[in-house]
Amino acid sequence: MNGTDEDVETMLVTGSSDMPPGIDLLRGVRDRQAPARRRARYRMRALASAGAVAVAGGGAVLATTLTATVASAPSAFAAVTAAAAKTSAESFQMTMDASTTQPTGNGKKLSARVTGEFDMSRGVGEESVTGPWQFQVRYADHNTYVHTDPGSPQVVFPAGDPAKPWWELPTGTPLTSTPIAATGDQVGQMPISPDALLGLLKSAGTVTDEGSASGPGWTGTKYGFSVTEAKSTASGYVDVDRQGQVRDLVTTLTSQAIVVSPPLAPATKPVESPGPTLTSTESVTFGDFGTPVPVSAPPASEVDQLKSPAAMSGLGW
Amino acid sequence: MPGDDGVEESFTAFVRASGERHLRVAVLLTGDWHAAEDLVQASLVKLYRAWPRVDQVGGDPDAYLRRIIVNTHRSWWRARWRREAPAAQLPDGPWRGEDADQRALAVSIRQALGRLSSKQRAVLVLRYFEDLPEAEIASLLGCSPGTVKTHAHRGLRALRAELGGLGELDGLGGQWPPGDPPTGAGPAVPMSAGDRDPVFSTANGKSTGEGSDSR
Repeated sequence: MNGTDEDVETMLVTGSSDMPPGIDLLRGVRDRQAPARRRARYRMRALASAGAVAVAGGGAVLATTLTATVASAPSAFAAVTAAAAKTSAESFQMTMDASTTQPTGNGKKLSARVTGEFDMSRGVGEESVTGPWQFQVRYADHNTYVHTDPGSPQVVFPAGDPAKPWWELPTGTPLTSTPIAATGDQVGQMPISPDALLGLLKSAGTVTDEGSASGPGWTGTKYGFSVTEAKSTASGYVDVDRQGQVRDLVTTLTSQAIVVSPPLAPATKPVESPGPTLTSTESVTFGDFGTPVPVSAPPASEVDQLKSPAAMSGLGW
Repeated sequence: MPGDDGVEESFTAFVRASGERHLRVAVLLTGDWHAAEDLVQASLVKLYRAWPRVDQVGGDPDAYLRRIIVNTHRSWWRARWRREAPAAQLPDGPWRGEDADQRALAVSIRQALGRLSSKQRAVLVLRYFEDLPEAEIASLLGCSPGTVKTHAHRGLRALRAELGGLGELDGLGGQWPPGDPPTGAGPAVPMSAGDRDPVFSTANGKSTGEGSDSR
């Protein structure tokens, strides 16, 4: 979480925000499918005026299907990514309600609530997670620290020093809203850090203007968005206020799980197999922008180092 | 491929979902929308040829396409066969009022990027717009992570010099020009918990780094 990175990103988003309408990305592929004697030569063409739409051409089989054009209005994409970048550089309070449902199997639903405060410009924040498990998270000094509540179920940490209730996680270990549980229960794959949540918006593939939006003390615009990566699809909507800040973010993530089973023999790799399709939903509200966030890293004397995320799994990898 | 409706459908869906983002990367690399459109169109042709392979092995098509775009742009840059569109030329269009200001700002930023070396520009776009880690950028550009850092540092310094007054303009927000780029946090990976029973994790869309293009 760093104001400098967001400044550069905002600059680059602005630098690509004036996309003209009518760009036809699939024209080259269609042209290749046309008979050789009718193949179009590549050349630059004048930018189309507003309202122009690319039309499928040629007599090839693909002509009627490859008509994809750039659908998002330039301003919608720029507004959402700029809002994500701007919010990523501010301080705010955040509340999240998350749930995960497996469509097959026992259909059990896991729910969690996350509340937190963050000062993204300083890279600090604190979250409290309640649900199937309870823990607190602190982000500071480019590290992530986790403190589990005594008696919290589901979480297994290696036996540690009771005088060190905080675990410093390895760099790059993110946290999800509900546990990856055993015995076929559902998993929560939605992230809980605002960096990861706002990162989804920065990766949006399609953004559409859905009209006006409002909330307590603010008005703005609602945008629909979708992100597709490998076997996962995230979609939802984001409300951006007139100051260009993200106010509400509702995301549904559908992903193909991988079942990771313990190794079949000592010193061998765990066995992976395709798992069920999982659906997770998070509804996040951002507010109280500009509020001071007096969060710092836990005292070093109270922190233990977690060597690997796998150390928490109990599988003995 | 011709007549394979499943391939066409999945390819079209991918372009619809991700094409715009790659087009924006292309305009930041090339400087204008003409060249960006040509670059992405040409790259999609290459990706389409490899699509059955990408789709079947569960590869990351975004990573494939990104590598093709970067490599194709580099080969075009070396060949210099692309005629650079005059940077100051504005097309006829509905630019008026706020749109005209927005476009002028966007053009200014692209002009400033265009005055960097191609490597510096590519590093800044891949690092800050695509949010790629240095190791992946190094793999894409065929250099070491240390060289990526150097290009980022020098590119930002050069951009600062080019855009020194840009922080006064509306729309950017925050502080500008920025300082040196710090390292960011790593990507999200689900935290696992449980005993010796099987645990679930999402499929990881890791980049295979494969692409079909000559350097």
